[in-house]
Amino acid sequence: MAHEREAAAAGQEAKKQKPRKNMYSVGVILSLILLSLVMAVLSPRFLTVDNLTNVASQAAVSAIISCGMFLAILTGGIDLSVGSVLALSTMLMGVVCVNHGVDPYLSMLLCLAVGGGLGLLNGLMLTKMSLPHPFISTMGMKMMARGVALVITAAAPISIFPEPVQFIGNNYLGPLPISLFLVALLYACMYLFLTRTATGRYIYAVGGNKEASRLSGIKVHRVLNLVYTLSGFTAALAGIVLVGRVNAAYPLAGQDYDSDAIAAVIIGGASFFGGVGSIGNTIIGVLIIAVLRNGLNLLNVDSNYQTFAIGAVIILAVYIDVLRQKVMQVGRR
Amino acid sequence: MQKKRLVAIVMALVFAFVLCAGAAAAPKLKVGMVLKTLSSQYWKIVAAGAKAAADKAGVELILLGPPTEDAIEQQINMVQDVISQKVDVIVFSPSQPAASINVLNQAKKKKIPVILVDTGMPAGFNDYVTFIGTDNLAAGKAGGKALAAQLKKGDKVLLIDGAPGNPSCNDRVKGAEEVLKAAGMVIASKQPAFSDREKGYTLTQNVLQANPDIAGVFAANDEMVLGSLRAMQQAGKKVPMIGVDANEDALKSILAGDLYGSVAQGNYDMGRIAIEKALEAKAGKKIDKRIDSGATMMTKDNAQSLLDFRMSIK
Repeated sequence: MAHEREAAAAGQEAKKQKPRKNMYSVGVILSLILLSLVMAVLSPRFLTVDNLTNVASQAAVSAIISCGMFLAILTGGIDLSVGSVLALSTMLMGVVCVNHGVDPYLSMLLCLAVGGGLGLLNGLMLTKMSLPHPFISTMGMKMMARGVALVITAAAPISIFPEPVQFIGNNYLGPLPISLFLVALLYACMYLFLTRTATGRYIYAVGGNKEASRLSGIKVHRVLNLVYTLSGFTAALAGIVLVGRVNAAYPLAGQDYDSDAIAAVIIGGASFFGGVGSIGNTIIGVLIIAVLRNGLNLLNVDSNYQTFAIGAVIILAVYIDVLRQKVMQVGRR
Repeated sequence: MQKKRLVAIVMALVFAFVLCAGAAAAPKLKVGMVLKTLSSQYWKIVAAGAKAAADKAGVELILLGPPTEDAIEQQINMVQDVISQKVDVIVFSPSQPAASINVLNQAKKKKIPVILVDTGMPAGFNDYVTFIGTDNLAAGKAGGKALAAQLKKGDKVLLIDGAPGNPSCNDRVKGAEEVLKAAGMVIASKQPAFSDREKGYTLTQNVLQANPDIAGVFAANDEMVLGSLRAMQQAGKKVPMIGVDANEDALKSILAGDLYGSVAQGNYDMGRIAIEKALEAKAGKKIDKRIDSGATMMTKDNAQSLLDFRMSIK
């Protein structure tokens, strides 16, 4: 009885959220536009085709990882292993493709499969081994995957990949990087998946209230396994773009991206409490970080201030999330 | 209201950082310098050498480097960002040479000459003007020679290397080993301690179990030799020990009479020479493909003057 009431409340809550969500979207997009305007005024190099395609190609890897991270955070979880999963799956791709001459397309498939597989393991640790929080399972995976990535070649990088592997990360269609099209396609698919399919809706439901979702017949474990598998998959996909960009796989790859992806999702307004967030805002979060880093580089600002700035923006974004929760609670009373 | 607050604070942050950016005078040459990091003492000195030379020659210097040496992607983005600023010359120290080939090809496409400092690119990559850095083999030989002078034939020596596949460290140990062997010393043990102080400490403890009569130590960097020194001191042994880098801790230890010496790299000169060569490259002069920035053996006699010089830079 109590559960039913909770479930009903959760449903109503979801309906009520819509206008608030839109308000946050406007806020995030406005911040990005303002930030870009400020950068454009301060640096004449910012608003050039060269530089904007630069930002796009720099943001691509982070955007793809953030897509999977968004799902994990949407279920009220987190995936700390994405950077390491990226490193391990691309290192394995390098070993088979460069060192053993396996077909490049097959090698890329292997890379994606390894990423998805490691992600599934993350999910199973949560659902089958009942580890208390994905913070623990994915942190363990982060260390294990990084360790294996370092061991397989004794920390040596693998370089000079065949053209097909480099295609997405290194080529341009006119002035636009190919990776930009991949990002657009991925986000479009993810948007449709989350809004137009039952499974997509279940992900929101599980994030909003696990118990209510279970009682209403959603296979919660299956949803969680899927979410972490997708997160591992997108990390590996981002890895292929990264390898194309630098023409090398190396065991320390992806270290910066762990926290950047979490930051992008949070700045994009996804709630750490789960169940709230939109994939469209996530890409805006990615772009805010990319513009901030690029702009500060153009302005010759010490990178330690960049680290500080992004940290400050994260705290700010989460604080807004907390305020939003408070407003909602007051509204409910 | 919330969104207004978000916007306001983002704006405030941006303006705050802009104030740190500073302004530049009308330059005759614009150089983009991307180092491995700007946060460690070693790299601050490279940067200081470059800044001084740039000020003297009226060169506009854009100086960037990620917070840590392993932030590889961030460093590559920084190179892209200086390319898009249309600099005249790029000075670059690749944290991960193999991963930096594509971004240097982008520089080549834009016809921007590249000068490498401290770390070279993988064999086969030749699209750079010059590589300015320590001749590590020679630096190792200088350390080995100084150590050999303190020992007698048949003495047992411990060699501590950096990570396998770290060419700078491996070359230094190779150089030291050659000289020590030629002088009649016995290499009792040669092992990697991954440029880490604690690992140098543990390694030395273990080696002393099997070889308590180690008479001298050479390590490929100061962090490892300082770790090793601690293990020796705890075992109640005092032997001549030599590292590479002459960092602040090592110089202080030398002055205190604990370490025997350390081989100083010419990192200030790396920065200085890079700017001078950038000017020459722009003027179309012919430049040697490899420039040795030098190495100096530091002992009790000259450690104080180097320490004073370093202090004057901060």
